[in-house]
Amino acid sequence: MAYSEKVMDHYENPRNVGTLDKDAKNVGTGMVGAPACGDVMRLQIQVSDDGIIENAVFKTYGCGSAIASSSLVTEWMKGKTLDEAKQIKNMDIANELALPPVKVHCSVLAEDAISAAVDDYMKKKDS
Amino acid sequence: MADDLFSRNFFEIFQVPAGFVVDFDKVDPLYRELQKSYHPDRFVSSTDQERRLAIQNASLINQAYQTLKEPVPRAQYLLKLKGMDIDAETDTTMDAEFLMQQMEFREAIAEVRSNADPLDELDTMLSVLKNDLQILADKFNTLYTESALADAREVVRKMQFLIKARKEIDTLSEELENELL
Repeated sequence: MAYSEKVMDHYENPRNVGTLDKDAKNVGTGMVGAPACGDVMRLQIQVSDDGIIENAVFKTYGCGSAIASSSLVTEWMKGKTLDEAKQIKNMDIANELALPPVKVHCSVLAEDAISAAVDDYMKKKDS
Repeated sequence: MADDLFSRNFFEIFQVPAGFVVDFDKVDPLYRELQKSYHPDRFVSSTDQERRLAIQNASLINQAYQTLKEPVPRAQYLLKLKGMDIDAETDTTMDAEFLMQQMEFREAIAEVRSNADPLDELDTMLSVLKNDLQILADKFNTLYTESALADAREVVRKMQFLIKARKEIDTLSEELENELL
């Protein structure tokens, strides 16, 4: 499988790999997985009091495209509001990384991870 | 010789009941017999059409056997026979707790090199994994038998993650063994 230059770049120099305290009230954690390929992705966001994403980190066990997709969305999410972050769609990711059709599901995984992280944060905030 | 293999499902091809527990004492001899009867060598003097049909049958028999042989494909095939959609790639919803465990397990595999005896550690992980897989397989069998198909599907999805982890352990073990040579 030939990866695009952008995928290779994120794969070799992944941005924002790491962990945030999942029990902290201002942190949202999104865990998603793709059974078909066995990929697991964890995306975490740290949100300021006025609803801006201050920090976003990820950890992904999967193929290059899955790593690149999650790395890219952490870059995109920083500085955005929660609503803006939820506007990020898998096709934006797939286009930016020039993912071939068989790898589009990796970008779906990243989109779902964003939703899961935002939902987790909202749930904590409301409780 | 049966010419209508294509109208049978994989269990019917090997004349065993469609279920998760398969009697390979029955399947294996029949598999060898079928392989023999459709072997290309037997069709050298046949017509093109007969030869083509033999090749198609041989490949069907192989596919059927490979599907029944491994627990995950077998479970998926059983669900498919019941009309369940099993490999929707876009379905990423999973039990978060389970995914968290998988994440930790994969982290442990990735960091195994920092262990005093990484190969020994991998062996331990592998036996934990095999045990977990067996538990899930038993659970699938129970749920499938009770026709709790949606729950059974969830169990197969979990098994797929464990299989992936097992592949990673295998790859890493091989790497480590090669380094020691």
